Amino acid sequence: MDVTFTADASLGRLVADLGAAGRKATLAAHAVMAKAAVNIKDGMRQDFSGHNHAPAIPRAINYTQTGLAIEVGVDKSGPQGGLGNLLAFGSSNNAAVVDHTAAMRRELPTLEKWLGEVGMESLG
Amino acid sequence: MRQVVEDAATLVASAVGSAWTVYKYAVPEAPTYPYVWLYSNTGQAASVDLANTPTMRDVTLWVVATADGDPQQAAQQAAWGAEKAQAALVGSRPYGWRPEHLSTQPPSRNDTLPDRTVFFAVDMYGITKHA
Repeated sequence: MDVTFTADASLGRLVADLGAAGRKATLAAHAVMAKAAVNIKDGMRQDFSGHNHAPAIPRAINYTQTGLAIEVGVDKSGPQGGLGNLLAFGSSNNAAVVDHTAAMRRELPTLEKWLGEVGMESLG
Repeated sequence: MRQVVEDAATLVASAVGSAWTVYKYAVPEAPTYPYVWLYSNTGQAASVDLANTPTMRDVTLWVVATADGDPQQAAQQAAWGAEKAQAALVGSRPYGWRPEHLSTQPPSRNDTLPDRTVFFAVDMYGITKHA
C-alpha cells in the first residue's frame, strides 16, 4: 500500500495505491480518502485565511475525488481564486504568503494510519 | 530556519555558477539578473519518535529562478536555473537534511514589472531537520 503526494498550481494531489486489495477494502479506502480530502480542504482554508487583500479566497478552496485520488486546492473560478498562484508561489520579487502544501502534509500521517488499518482488515 | 536558507544557497550557488546572483531572504530593489532567490518559512514542529516529542521542524523552502531579456531566452534561462537548483538540492545531503521536492511552477512572466521582460520559475522544497 502506498500514498503518493504531488502538488502544483496551488493544487495538491494524493493518490492511494492499494495494490490487489478487494472490493471491500477499496470501498473503505474510498471513505478514508474522502475524509482526508475534507480535512485537507478545511486546513487549507485555514492556511489561506487572514490575508487583507484576499479575504474571500478560502471559499475558493475545494476538493475533488476520483476513485482513490483526491485533489484539493484553489478553484480559479471561485472568489478571488485567481490569486491562488500568487499567494502560493509569490513572484520574482515578492515572497509567497502561504504554503499550499502544508495542510496536505499535516494530514499524511493520519491518512497513512487509516489506510494501513484498511489494509490490515483486508488481510484478516 | 535561516540556516536552511544559508546552506541551500551555498549548494545552489555552486550549481548555477558565477554568472548568476544568489539572493537570500529578499530581492533588492534593483536586482542583478539572472538570479536565484531563496527564502523559507520558520517551519512547524514535527516528531519522528513514538513519544511524539517535537524534536524536528518541517521547513518549506522557496527557490525562485529569474531571468530577463528576450521572452524566449528569459523563460529558458529561468527554467535552466530552476533545473540546476533542483539538481543541487534534491538527492544531496551535505548538511544532514535532504529536501523533498514539493511543488513547482513553470517560468511565467512578472507582469508587475512593465519596464522589463522578466520570467521566473518557482520550486518549493520540504526539509525536515533537527529543531
